[in-house]
Amino acid sequence: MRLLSWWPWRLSRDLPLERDETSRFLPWIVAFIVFLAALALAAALVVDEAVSSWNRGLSSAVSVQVPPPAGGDVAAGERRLAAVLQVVRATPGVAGAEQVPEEKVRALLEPWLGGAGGLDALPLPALVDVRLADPDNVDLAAMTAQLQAISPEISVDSHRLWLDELIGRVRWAQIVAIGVVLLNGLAAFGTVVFATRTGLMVHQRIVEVLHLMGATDRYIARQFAMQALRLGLRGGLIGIVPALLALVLVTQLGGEWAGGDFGGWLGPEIALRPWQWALLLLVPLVTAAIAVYTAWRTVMRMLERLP
Amino acid sequence: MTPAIVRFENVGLRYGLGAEVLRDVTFALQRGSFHFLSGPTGAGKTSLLKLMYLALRPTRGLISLFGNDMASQPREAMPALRRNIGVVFQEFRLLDHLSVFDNVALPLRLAGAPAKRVQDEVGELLNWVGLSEKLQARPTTLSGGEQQRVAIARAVITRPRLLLADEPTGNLDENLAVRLLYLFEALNRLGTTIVIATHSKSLVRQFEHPVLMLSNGQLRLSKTRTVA
Repeated sequence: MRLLSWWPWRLSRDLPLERDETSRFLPWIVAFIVFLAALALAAALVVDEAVSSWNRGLSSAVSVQVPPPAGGDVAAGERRLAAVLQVVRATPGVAGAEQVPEEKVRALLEPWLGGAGGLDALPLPALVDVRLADPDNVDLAAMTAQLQAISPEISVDSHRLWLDELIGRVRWAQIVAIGVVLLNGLAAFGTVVFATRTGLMVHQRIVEVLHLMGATDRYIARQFAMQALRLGLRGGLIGIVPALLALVLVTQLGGEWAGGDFGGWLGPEIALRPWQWALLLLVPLVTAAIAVYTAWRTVMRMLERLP
Repeated sequence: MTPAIVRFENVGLRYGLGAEVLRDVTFALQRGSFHFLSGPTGAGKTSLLKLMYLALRPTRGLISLFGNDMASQPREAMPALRRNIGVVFQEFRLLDHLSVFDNVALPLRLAGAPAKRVQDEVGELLNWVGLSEKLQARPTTLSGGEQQRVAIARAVITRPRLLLADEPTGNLDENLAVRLLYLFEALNRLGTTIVIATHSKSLVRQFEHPVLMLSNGQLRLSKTRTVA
């Protein structure tokens, strides 16, 4: 029964808070805050998913270019390639290394260097595709040094280098998105403090009467907190619905772009996992919780000034 | 000896940096006593009542209520102490958004009384003060006298140990004023200590109770029924 008495719609309402002006505008401000916070959080989650995807797809691959020895000595070239494969395969953390077939190398270069006739005249480097089992624990610098000891012309092309730079930039976007989420939390806090103080001032006379009749600070604060819960949930619902609709639309369009003519040019596929949708549904609840706690603290602090 | 319900010792009160409105006020009210508080306008009657119903803290001196030294009471203990005090405010201070019934029921609900008791006792008391037809009316729709009766009913509904009334009969006709004084006397016979601030010399003459006289912030006790 004691627990039931906490249910916001069962509590006594000695203070006419639902008639306040704040009861009209607060849900709309909360709705706007929840809408922005949900979109910002979704952006942060999408970026996180994209970074993970890039990490999985690209950081586990390394290419080694082995230029042919000067003079076109085929046998020396094959010995050099064999030595390279031996060094690479012996490197800890490497899952495997294979030479890319020459036909495939030619096919890769054809769009830039012209038809097969032109390419035949050029000394093409051998390409070794290296798959890393544990990208974080492969000492690429040591492997590169060992390979360049075979020939200084050998180069190692790690996707990690440009990927790190790209991820660094994208992470900043993620930090900004998380910052927007936190700022929205702060905005919710500030709005509720303002609304609660206004409510206390408007109802000062009633609060005083209740106080003098022996109402505890908690009794009075609970009414403000439950009103904040009602308004917070109402505003949260108003804000989260359009935010979710917008995200469903964006994920649909993102899927079409990724599978259409753009072929991924517009960035990673924008998709959210079920747990991420669930996390977004928590945004209005967390906002309502912030509203309740803020209203409670504000009232308790102000009532402490009464004798 | 039973400790006094109210004890003031050299109490002084000033608002902000102004002059003292109460000076060296010393008195004690025993359980079950009935006093009128009288004095000219501006003498400090309302301020003295406010100190008694814990709406103000004294600037100096000691106040003891129900045997508890107020200066040493933690803030958390104050609501329970306040629930032992019924107050009829000069300007009624009814909650306009609540019905007459809910206004009177409020102190009982704050004290955690069950709904059945609230229903029975509020109905009975409102019937006694002649407002049984207006249980669901809002205070703003009542006359001044009716509002005052609601305020009095609200103050006495919990049968408080101490009842303080600031000009409780100011808006009532003589008959009703006398009737309400009889109600206060009935409560007094049940053990409630009563202090009534009033300007009405006729009321003070009619009822045989001592008078606390306030003049220029200082108090003296008159044992007689006459008012200076």
